Amino acid sequence: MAMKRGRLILAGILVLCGVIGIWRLRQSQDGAAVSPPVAEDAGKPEPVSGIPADPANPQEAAAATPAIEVAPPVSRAPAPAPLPAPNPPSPRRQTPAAAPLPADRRPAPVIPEPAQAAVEALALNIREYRNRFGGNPVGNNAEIVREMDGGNAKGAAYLPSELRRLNGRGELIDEWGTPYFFHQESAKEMEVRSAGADRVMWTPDDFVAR
Amino acid sequence: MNSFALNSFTTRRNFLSRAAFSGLGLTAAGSIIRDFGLMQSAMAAQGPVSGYKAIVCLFLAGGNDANNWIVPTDAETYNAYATARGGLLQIPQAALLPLNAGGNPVTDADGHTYGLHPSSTRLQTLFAEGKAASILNIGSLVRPTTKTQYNANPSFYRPPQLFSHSDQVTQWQTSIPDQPPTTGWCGRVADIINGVANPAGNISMSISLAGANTLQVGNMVAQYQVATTGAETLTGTLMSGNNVRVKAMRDIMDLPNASLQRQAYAEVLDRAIATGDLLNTSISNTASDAFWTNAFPSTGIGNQMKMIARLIEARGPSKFNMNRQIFFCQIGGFDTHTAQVRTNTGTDNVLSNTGAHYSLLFQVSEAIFAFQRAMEQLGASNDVTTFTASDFSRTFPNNSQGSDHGWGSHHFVVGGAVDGGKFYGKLPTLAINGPDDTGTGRWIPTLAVDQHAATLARWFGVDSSMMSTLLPNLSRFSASDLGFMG
Repeated sequence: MAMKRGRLILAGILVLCGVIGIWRLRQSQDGAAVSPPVAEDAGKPEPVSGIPADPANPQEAAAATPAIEVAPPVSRAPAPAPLPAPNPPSPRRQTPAAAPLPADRRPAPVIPEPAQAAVEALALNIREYRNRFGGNPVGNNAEIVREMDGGNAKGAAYLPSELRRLNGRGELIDEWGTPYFFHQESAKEMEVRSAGADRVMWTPDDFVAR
Repeated sequence: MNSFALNSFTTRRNFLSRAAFSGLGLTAAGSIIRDFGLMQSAMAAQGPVSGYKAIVCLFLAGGNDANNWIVPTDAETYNAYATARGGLLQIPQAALLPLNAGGNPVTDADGHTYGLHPSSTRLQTLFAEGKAASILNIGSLVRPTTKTQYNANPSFYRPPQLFSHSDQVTQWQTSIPDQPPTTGWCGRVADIINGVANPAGNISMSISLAGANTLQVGNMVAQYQVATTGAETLTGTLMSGNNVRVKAMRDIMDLPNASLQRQAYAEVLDRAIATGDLLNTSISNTASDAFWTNAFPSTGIGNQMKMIARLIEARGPSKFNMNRQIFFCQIGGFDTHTAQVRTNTGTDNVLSNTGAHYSLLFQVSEAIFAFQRAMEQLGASNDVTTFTASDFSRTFPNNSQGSDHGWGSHHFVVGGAVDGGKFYGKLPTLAINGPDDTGTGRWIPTLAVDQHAATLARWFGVDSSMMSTLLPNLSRFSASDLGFMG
């Protein structure tokens, strides 16, 4: 019984290999049909888009035409009409850069992307910790950081070195110097929150990740 | 056998191993049910349960900052409180409502006097009347724990996932913090006592006004969920108010069915309709505010407690025919990391009623008071005991806008049978990194939920001999009766 099954599997594999081989062969033939004649054109400069080729010079015209059109074997399509010259730069684009706005009218600076990336990295690392230990680290900021920073039963470090900014109380702080808040919702859920630029938690500029 | 087959099919060894584990699980489950069955038999041997008693759990979801609910007022301790809480969360001493009895300040065993949060004038009244008692620094404990032990051997002494909401809620409600949750302590009480106390009861012993909860999960008694408007009934254009169609549907469900599953489903649905109808009919006379001599507040928790009062009113033989009942209600919003006493941009202070904590405690105080007065109106004051519970208390220092997750908390027990106007337990030393602090003012509880539960269960009629099954960790603690039920 086992022998029969083995032969069947072998036969199936052979048929599959055959089919794949035929398919690859046909692919390579099709590829050759659409490939540019590399050997002939390799050393020539690429045609510049928008500059019409001289119809009197068939080689130049062929080079300026899309590769698929010059490919063999049989009929060659007529060269397309030359593209119009590019538009001149608009006056607006030629205007020099505007003078900077006064300080009180400047838009708010774009919130730095790293702040969101940081809370997400912390959340990801807490998830890694959770997968290893079966639950989130427990405690306040300093206790959680200590646990994540190798102070756990296995001595494993989960705190990304580039985010390892600690204040005098051993708390992990964000780029504005405010300690992150680790909201322990359950053994499997932890919200990581940065107070953002205003340094006040639970305001619209906070960065949050789970 | 080739490797393909080995990977795909269960081996004999694997099968036997899994079967053994399944068998162990089934044996354990069967053993638990058998234990409760035996306890019911033992209860029955003691004779029928007479008279009516009910336990009401009012859960403050999110973690109530009990440090500002019950505040020490003797000079030295208040100064320690004021120093650690900082300007944001500190309640001025003059604003606290003194907890007196007979016109005199009540002291705890250590001589501390206390004041209540300014929002809780109604609770102050109940305390003064001797109908409310305060339990100090209680929380989920695996075993009695000192700070040294807490630091030296965390896995042995600390409840798993301490400071996390859902885990601490579960542990408060199971009272077995070091075991995976399977049942709540009130669910186990119901398992023990329901068969003897409510042999001809017409409704579940465990009723929740706040949806599914762990507290009332039992092995045998199922919790019944009721809305603040009554039992949910068949609705929609086809069924609502159409008794002919409802009757036709119930007649169809009463027909015998060859499929056991369909038959069981039909029976459950039919029973649910019947129970809902009975409940709504039985409480119809108490819907009007005019029925109650003291109006219930029109708040979420006020409406829940009003419905509990209406259900208790219908406890008699002509309606529900119940001798023992357990109710659960809940108010959320206590996770006051921010806006605890003011909005982020506001300038209102701790005495303002715009702070979240003030508003929440005000609702709790008003609802408990209205409920207690309702029980007095029904002549059930001595038969109904309400207790508060919460995930945990909160950190003692402020976080600039509120407070974070703590541990040991203060709570109230209210009712005519409560030995009220007193404090039970011990106030922690209010010092950051002091002897009772795990750090940032999270007090190590000195009383366990187990002791609290045992005290209530004993009053409810659970025999002392059954406490070890009801509360497996109780023997680890020195006292199994905290004395607040007289």
